[in-house]
Amino acid sequence: MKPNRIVAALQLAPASVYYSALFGAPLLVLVAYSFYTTENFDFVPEFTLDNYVTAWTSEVYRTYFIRTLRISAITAAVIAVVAFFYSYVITYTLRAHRSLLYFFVLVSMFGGYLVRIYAWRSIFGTEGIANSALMSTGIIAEPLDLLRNGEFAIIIAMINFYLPLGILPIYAAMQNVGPGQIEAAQDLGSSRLGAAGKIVLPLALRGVTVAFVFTFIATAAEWLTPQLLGGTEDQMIGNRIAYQFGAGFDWPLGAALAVTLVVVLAVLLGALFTVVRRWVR
Amino acid sequence: MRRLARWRRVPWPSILYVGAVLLFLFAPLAIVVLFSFHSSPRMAFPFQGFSLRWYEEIFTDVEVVRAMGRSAIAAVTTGLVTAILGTLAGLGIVGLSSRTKGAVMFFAMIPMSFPALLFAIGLAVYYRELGVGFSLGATIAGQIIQSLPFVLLVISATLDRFRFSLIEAARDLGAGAFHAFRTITLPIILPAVLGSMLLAMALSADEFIVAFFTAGQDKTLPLIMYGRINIKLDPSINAIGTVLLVVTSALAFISARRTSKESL
Amino acid sequence: MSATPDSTSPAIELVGIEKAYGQAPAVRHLDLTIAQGEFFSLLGPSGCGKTTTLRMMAGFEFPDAGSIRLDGHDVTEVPAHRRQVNLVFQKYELFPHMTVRRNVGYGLKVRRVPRAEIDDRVDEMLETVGVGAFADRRADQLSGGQQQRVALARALVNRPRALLLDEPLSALDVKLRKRMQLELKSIQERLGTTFVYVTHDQEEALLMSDRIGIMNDGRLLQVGTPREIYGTPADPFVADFVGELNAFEVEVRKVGGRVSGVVDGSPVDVPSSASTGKRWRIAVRPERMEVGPAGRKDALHGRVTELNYLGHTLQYSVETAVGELVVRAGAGDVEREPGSAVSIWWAADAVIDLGEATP
Repeated sequence: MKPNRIVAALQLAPASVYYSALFGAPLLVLVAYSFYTTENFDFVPEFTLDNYVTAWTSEVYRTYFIRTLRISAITAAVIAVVAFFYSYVITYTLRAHRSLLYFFVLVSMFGGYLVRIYAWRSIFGTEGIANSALMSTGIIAEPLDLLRNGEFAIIIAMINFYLPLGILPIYAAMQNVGPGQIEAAQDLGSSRLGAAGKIVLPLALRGVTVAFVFTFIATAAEWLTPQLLGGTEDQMIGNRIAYQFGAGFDWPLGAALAVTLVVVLAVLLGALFTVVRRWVR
Repeated sequence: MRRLARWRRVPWPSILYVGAVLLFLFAPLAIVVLFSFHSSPRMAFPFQGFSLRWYEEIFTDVEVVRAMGRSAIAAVTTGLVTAILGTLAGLGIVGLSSRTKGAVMFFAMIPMSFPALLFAIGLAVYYRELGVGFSLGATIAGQIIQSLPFVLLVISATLDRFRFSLIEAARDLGAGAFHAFRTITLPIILPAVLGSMLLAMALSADEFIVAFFTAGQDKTLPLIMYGRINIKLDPSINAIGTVLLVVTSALAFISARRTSKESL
Repeated sequence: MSATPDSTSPAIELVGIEKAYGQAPAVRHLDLTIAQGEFFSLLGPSGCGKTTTLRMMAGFEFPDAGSIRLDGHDVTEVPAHRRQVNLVFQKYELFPHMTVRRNVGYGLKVRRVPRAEIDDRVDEMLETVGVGAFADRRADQLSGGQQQRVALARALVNRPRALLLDEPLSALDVKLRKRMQLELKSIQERLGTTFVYVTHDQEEALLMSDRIGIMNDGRLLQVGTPREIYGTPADPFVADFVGELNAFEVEVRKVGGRVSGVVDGSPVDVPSSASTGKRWRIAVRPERMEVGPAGRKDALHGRVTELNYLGHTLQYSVETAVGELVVRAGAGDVEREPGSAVSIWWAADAVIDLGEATP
């Protein structure tokens, strides 16, 4: 047994060292930076809480945080619902083709991040594809405001990119509930929808929660989508963070905002998990 | 009558729903591909006609071609390094007790759900502190972190299915530990290793955020595309986007087919 | 590392083997000698230590104490890949990515046998086990029975000093299993290789083995020919595990100058070790009991409660003063309907001694 342990340790060592050096260490440095002082366009290791005071008390950042949480919550909720029904339908109703229909989703998950955002920008542009298509077919006479870039466009684009991330865990959870169990519930008097609600939902709830949490985290730290699809009134906290590392050039403040975002997400999602766990019991 | 009855039994609402979701998933990509062949620079309907002029433009554009080269280097390097690190770690993990294994996998998966923006700025700060300049190498180092969890997931799932008693059979027939690994374990897990490598390549080729904060002047293809999005009316973006898309989805497609025998 | 074949030494000797996993003992003080060319079975219920013993012979486990000798050479600490024995695994463990031919040739290739010789030996062995026609199929495309044969060929082609088999037939269906039992036996006889065969199936062990070792709870209880094991079990566990048994207690008394067991007022034979005044446990196999019309002297009396027709035999359940007994008779015998009164008796040599009854 002992030589095996040594071999296992040696096999794990390169990846562990790599993780520590290029994931753990950068994040620690980022946290450290959030306590740095900005002096004459330089960042010096002088301990200060000023960055956090700004991040937590400024009206501006509060607005950004609240907008971010609202947009992320809507996006994640829509994704959870759409993904649940997609997984349900391909697992039970179209069972014979479920592998193929899942495969499409899998493939669409890897690739096209920037391409998608760009496509939505073209679709929702002022003279965009959506309006031009509707106008050229005569359905509408004037460009519709809803189809212009803005919060709606941001949400649609994020749903579009993160939907596979939602389908993945829900589909996986549903594979544990066979169609036989649903038929049994129907046989015992449940309607088809009732069976879905009573049998599948509780068992897939973990998957749904994971889907919601994953997409919530991913969208809450989005920055490119609002930047390319939204106006100044639609920017999210990610944009403020990115700004401090770009033109704003206040890295410690950016770091403090980033740490704040992580803490807010951890608290909210931790609470969500606790509630779900209680509910399931 | 009978044909009508069969017609009615088809679950139309389900098919429509699945069709709509898939259409929604792929429509924006289809639009980019479609307009990359548009003869007019206008990106709006009605469609004017097909042409390859934008492809001609990008493949003669030194900036774009150089970026393609950098993206290719990044993809291949990321793929190779993650496949090696991931396979080694997967082999180490499979021998652990199930509790330790769960803990190790939990930590290993963190980069997958950690927001890319925060990781990217963390990396930028880190490089600054270390005095390492922004470059393609700096970007690749970050992209490896991002794809390692996916590779590890694929490989450890494969190793979980691997029957280690086959190794005993090989040892019984006289093979030493390394010979048994080379002739039995490796050939059996190789499709999954290659598949996960392709997946890592797809992730790297499509990666934007880490590259944006750490690549400096070594702009990869997504960075070139980003730079041009803000310039009004540059239809070559559609062609760049299509090239990017074809490469990443082809890699992802082959990878998914190789790694999940259940699919298809 | 090659040990010269030495026909004067036993094939395998285990001396004082102890093996525990943590606090749980798996094998306790085991001594065993297996002769050259013997078909030896280790028989016992699951968890009795038989597989651990086999894996120690193969070199996958190492004893905490004691020594293992192969052809007279100590191999106690030699790992599996340097021992000249081969194992046929319970689930075959064929290499799924290789053809049958490459599977079978694997061991020879590892040992750097010349290519031409490998080909010849592999072909010959595939013919011997009857899968020559599948040589170029991939191993994962074979049926269970074919995989079994390939696994056998893969081990035997290396001409091992002993072949170890770990319940190799347990994954096959009944019919195929019966056929493979006979084939295995005939292959063993043809090649003259020492076989050590682990099984929990007593019928299988009785049918195939030259000698059987019965294990329970980490201990080797008895070693003997099938006839010895079945007819004169050394231990109540052995008696019960191998074959069916009617066990009951009798009172030992002197009846007419002879020491007899008294049951239901009638004297029956008891083992010579039984002493008067004690209660003794004895057992008789169902097929050694005779059943006849009621009223016979020196017999047990009872009433048939059940009659089952098993094809070649009739099986009675008979309620008697010592409890319900199972009795088997030939299918040609007179059938006695449930409810009828019968006598039951047996020959003196049918009695199995289970020792003094514990109160």
